Amino acid sequence: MTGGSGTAVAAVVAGAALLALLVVVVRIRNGLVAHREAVAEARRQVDVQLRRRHDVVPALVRVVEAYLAHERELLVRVASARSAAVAAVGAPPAATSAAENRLTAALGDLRGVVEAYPRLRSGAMVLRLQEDLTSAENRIAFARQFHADAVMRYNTAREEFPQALLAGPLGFRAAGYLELELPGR
Amino acid sequence: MSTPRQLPRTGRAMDESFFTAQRRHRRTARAFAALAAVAALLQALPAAVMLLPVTLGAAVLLADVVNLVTPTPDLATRIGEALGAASAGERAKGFSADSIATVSGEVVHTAPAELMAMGLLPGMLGMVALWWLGSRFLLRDGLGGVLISAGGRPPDRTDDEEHQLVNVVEEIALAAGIRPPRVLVLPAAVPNAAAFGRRPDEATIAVSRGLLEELDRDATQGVVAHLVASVANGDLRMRHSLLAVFLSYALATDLLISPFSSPARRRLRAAWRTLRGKAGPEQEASTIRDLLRWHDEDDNLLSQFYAMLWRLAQFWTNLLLVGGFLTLPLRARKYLADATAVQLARTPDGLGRALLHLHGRAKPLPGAEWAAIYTITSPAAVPGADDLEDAVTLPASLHPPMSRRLARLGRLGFREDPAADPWPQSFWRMERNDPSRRVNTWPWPARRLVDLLGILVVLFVIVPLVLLIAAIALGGLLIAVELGTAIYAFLALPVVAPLHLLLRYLA
Repeated sequence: MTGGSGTAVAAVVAGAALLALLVVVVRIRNGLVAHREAVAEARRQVDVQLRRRHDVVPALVRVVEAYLAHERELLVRVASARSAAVAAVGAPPAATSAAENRLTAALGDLRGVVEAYPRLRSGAMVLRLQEDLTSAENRIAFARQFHADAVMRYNTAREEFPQALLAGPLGFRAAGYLELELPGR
Repeated sequence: MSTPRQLPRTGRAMDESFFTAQRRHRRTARAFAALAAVAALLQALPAAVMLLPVTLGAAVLLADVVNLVTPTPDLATRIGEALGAASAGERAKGFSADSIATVSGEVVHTAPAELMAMGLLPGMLGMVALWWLGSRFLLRDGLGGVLISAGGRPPDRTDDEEHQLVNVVEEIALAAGIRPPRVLVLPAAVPNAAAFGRRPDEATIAVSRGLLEELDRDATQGVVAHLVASVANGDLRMRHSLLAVFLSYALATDLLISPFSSPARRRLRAAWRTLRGKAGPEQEASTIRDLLRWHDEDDNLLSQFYAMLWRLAQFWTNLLLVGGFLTLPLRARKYLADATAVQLARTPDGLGRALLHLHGRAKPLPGAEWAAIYTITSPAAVPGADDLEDAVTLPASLHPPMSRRLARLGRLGFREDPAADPWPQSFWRMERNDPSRRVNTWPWPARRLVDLLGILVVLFVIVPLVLLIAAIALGGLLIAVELGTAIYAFLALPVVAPLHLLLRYLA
């Protein structure tokens, strides 16, 4: 009789331990999934913000066109860089970075030219568009920064004990930082 | 509008990374929050003692009513016995369970400790319930109402400054990975900004016109980063609970003086309407404002005297036990929000310059003066009678001193650069915290002598002074509480005694 109850107790203890272990594993997995999703979401946000900048450019070109008729070549370069960048969204990282960087360089030149024309520089419309362009670039920078922060949080969570024991077997690979070589920080 | 600029890319060395700073501040904030919870409970204690006659009277009558149906012990006799035993015991040889048992000659069930627990528990539970009501319902839409009554409106996208503000808020929200908070512009000319809201995902950032006009894009970005960081860190909840503590004392005061004060009854009716959700946001706002104000329009001497005693007890507890503890978590969260803001903007410069500028210039937002707890920096103290009012109804110095905030920002890489500062007013107290200036060049014996003098001063001047002040404060607290208890007993007795006798006679 004593042997029987002893076995039953052992079975209950083993079952409880197994259940506790399962709960721990599930919790760790859920935590890692949340971190990984945050990284993926941050990555999508970078693309959204890149597209957002593409949308600002045509309006800027339209407004300064009237004043900068003699800078035709620059305006064409901005426009073509923009359409190249639009086409390169979703392409391999190297191609996207190259296109985005060309757009950034062209926009930088345009800013320089606008700065050189006081009448243009102080125009309300131009000021507004410049603000929007600055904001679009800041947004890209901040979205990338958030991505980097999310990657760091995910990788840290992955490498900490006890998650480190399970991250590999459960298939959580280390997240990489953004391959895009973008303007800014 | 200031000219749009690219984000500054600073590659300066930092004494401390913002992640380390955040971890540190988060740890302190947690510890302080636990302390504050204990302190808030302690603050309910004097209130509960003052309420003792009322709660005990209610208990006696309740037992009597139940006695009509089924026999219950006569609590009044018990209380009388316990009080008699306590005073007799005191006369004999101090409090002890034995002396009580011998004095009454038979086994006495109600010892003073039991009596105290019986009376204090309802009072303390009542204070906690009021706090819960305050935090749960009263602040529901009241904050939004305050902003609306202060003239808050959605930003006007055709205005350059306000357009830029919306851009900045959306950028920083991206950096924090949260949904962009609602933005409200307040027409006030004083530069200030605040974050309100019940939850991080329905937060509101309110910025005054004055701030938009006085700060450039980077400084505005620093301010917004601080507010968004504070929202993302979940500070709103904590400030909410803190404000509710003060609201619960206001409610308790009004409840207690309501029998003889018509303004208090009016305020309570307004609060009741708000609780049932019958009041519009603006009405809710004025209810909160009325409750948190110092009332001197009470119509008779008795209620004024009452309110004074009550507030005195509150004031002393605040000074002795709670005030500091309540503000500590808030301060720690402020530092945390600053460090998080640096993480979001990746530069301490905007926030640092904004704080330098706002120091001494930020004033309470008109129509929302009590909401200082939600603003980015403390409004300048107004000398005069208002100070006492603030000290009692709201903690006077909720915000950490500017010099300490700047010193912490300094460790995160902020260097004040007067040449680049477009605002001439500067804050030289910063220097005190500059480590390079701490090096003492005096010879060794002189330094040791100064150290020794410092220790002596602390031991024989500062410590006794602090103890003296604490003793005076404790005495004041005891006097206020005893006087209050006596008055309540005096008032409760004529009501409870006849009712008690009648009920017992009926049974």
